[in-house]
Amino acid sequence: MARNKITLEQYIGFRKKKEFGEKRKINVGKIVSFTFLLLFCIVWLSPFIIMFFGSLRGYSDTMLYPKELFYPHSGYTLENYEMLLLGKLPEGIGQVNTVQDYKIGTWFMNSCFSAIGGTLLYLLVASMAAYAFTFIDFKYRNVLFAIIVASMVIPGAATSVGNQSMVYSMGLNRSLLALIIPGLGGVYGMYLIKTFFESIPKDLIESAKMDGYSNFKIFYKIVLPLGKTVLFVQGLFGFMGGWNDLIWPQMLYGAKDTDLWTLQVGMAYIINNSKTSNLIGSALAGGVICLLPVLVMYIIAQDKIIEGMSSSGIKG
Amino acid sequence: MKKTVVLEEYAKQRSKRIGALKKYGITALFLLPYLIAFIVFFVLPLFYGIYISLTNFQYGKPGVETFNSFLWFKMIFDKSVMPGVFNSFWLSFTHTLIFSVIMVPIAIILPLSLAILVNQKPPAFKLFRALIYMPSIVPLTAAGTIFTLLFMSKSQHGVLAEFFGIDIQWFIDNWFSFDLFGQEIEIAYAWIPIFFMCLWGGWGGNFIILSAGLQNVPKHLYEAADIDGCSPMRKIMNVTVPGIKPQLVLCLFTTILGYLGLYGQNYVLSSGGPSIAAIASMPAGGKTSTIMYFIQDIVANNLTFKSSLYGLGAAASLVYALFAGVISGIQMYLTREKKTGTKISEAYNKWHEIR
Repeated sequence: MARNKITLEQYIGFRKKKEFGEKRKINVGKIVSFTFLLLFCIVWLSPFIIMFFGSLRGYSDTMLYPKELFYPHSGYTLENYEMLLLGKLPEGIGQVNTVQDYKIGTWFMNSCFSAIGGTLLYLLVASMAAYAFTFIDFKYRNVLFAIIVASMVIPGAATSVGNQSMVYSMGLNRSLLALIIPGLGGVYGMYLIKTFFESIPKDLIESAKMDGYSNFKIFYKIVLPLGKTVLFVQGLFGFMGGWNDLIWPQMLYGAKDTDLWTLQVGMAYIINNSKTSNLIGSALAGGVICLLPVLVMYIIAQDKIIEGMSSSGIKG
Repeated sequence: MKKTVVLEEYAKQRSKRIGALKKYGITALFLLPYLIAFIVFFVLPLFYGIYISLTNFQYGKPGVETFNSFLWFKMIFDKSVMPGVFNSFWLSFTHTLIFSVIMVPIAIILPLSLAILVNQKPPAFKLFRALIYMPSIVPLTAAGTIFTLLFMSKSQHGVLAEFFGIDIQWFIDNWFSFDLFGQEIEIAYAWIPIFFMCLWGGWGGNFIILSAGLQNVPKHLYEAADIDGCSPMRKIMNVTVPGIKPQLVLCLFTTILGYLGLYGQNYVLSSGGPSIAAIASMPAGGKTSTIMYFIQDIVANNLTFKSSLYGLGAAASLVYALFAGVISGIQMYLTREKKTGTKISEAYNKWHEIR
């Protein structure tokens, strides 16, 4: 009896100790990871801050007082932005651009057109195809879909050169449409939307058909609202992909047609042109302009982007 | 009597026909826009690219080309045809491979360890997750401006040179060279800015996917490991890593593919240079050229190459695509079971039960 009692007390003490110890241990783990993550984020986000403050620094400060990164010697100035957007050069800056004019406004609009227009059009076309593949029965449906999915193995590089000549033969090589239209055949987004549509219960569609809904009505009234999560995620990634794309616009418009350049191509040119301390400020300002739309979108829809990525495994 | 039957039959047939037309018409309406785009901008260009690589096709002048008995492929695979092109192609290839071998493990292990830290759920872990992914959304060129500022030389007051006194011409100087199969390979300092740019913003996707995978690892396995007295390291190796194997495989292959297609960082930061004297007049004749750079140099950046070597670009892109296609084929085979979008059907079932 006595032995038993002691054991029980010992046991309770052991439990208490264990709970206490475990709790403390978890706290230590959390504190360690918190500190480490905090340090990591500070280091990793510092380039953003350097870029932002660097763009607000006049060219003479960059040359004469390069160590004053965050508080420029003669105060913040917008001359870099004025130089890019309005073409107003600060005095004494020297030669700015050797070959092509900066047309940031045009490039920005081209990028917007390519990213927004391309994404919306692709969403429409791809979700319609995904609807057909999921809810309409037709001959060879599965074979056709399997062929399309299997073609994902072929990387974009295999088709890009052919595409370039194709676009030329169609007479689109001097048109902004060439940024959008070739993307409409993209497989991955359609595949993603289709896998999502498959999770919409078939009964729902069947009963809507019984009630006399036409396919368009079902598509518009039932499938699109239910699939808006995946459409939104795909739209975000389409936008970012279109905005950040460098290779395809370069292939299309090369070195000459500056009116058709997208912001990425133009920025690459600006950077190559401003690897000196008097011009780097303007390149940083261009970087801020280039980053801003994507960053704003990310801050607004950050939850959705991360959730969408983790559920579908899209790579950004 | 007879007539009515015929009429009925006729009506039946007609409605059937209209039904079929309606059905196929609808199918076509839904499917055709996509299918046309897919065929015109994916299937046809693939074969057109093969055709271009087999002829002396000139960009902008279709229709006058003739078969040139695999000249472009011979240039790539046979040194004696045109040594300059051969050298610059395989040098770019080597650069790409070496850089991938260095970069891919980092781009898996760093996000994995960060994901494990975030998975401890410290205060504000959602904010950390969002912040860690943030560099990956930055456009290449915007990131390029920052890293140009950091790595400018001392005379141009680059940040590194000013604050740490590192006096290296990052985009000009040669770092070291070594011998590979009798071919001297020079590694330029310019790879370091490229490396840091990839290190900064090249693995955010992996991080998100891996941390999503970590949440699916069953908790009781960790508890069991605790009872057995496993060290944290052992827990990671024996519980965490097997638990997120599908995500790891996906990340591994997409990362390999990503770095095989490395182009933007090199173009923005170093323009493929500093050039190698022996092959400076060849496409991608620089010390930081990659295989994508080789292709892009021919078909986009340089008008001389574009008019004289266009077919070579097509041939090189096919060689590259074959290489990358095998890798992505393996990846698709390994990750073929995918579970997505169960949420809607769950919600529907719930709703159905309530009703």
